[in-house]
Amino acid sequence: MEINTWIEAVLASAETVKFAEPKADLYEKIQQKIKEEQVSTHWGISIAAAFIVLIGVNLFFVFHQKNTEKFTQVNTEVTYILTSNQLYSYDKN
Amino acid sequence: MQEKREAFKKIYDEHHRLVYHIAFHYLQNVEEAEEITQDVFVQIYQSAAKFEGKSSLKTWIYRISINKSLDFIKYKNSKKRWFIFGHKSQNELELAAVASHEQPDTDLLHQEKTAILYAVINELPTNQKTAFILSKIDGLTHPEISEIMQLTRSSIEALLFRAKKTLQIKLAQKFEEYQKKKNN
Repeated sequence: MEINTWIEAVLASAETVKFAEPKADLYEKIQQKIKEEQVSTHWGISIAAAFIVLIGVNLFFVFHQKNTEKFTQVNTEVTYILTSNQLYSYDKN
Repeated sequence: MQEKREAFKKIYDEHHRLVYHIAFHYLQNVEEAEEITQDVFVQIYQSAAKFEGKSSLKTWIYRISINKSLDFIKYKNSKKRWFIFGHKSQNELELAAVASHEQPDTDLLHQEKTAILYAVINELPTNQKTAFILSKIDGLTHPEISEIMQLTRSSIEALLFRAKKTLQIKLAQKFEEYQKKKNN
């Protein structure tokens, strides 16, 4: 067979390609996959929400602790000032 | 919910063959084509609300199918790089393509030609491959292909011209092999 004829025949075979039909249970498999995807999305959202709550609680405690430390420090300073003032006023008297 | 399911079933009934065949043109493997078809319909189900109707539903489904098939090929190639020993030779690929066609009504000669054609199509650059598949195998018109590929009609014509030229060169190289096999 001549090369050009063969090439044209091979190229022309593209127009007559026939294919097997997809299997009958394909729709059920797709439904199953959709359900699985929904479950995994649900879990993903739940885990993300749990993380956000955890971070929030942590931040709250850190903030609370810092506030307590600050309050204690201020309290000490005020006490000191008050005490020294009292002493000063006592000395004055 | 029931309405959504019914609409989805209708879309599936009307387009599943189209999706399956597109995936098959790219991968030439029954199981992989089925896997792609599943993925495409899962995406259609999930992003149906995002479909704006700027193009026809068929065009949108074509685009998803092509993108999923190309992603799958990329994934397969990256996997191959890691599993060098699992790499199939070109001959094995050709045989796999023939075996997986499952066309009882098609003669062996036609199957052989189809396998050779797919082997050379697989060597084309992505855009040329897509244009050739849509035009010659799926039988779409140039305006339809230009809408799917989001390219101008002249670009599609140029892609098809270049694809045909490349295929002719590659087939000329295959002709000797074919003659040798035939003589043996």
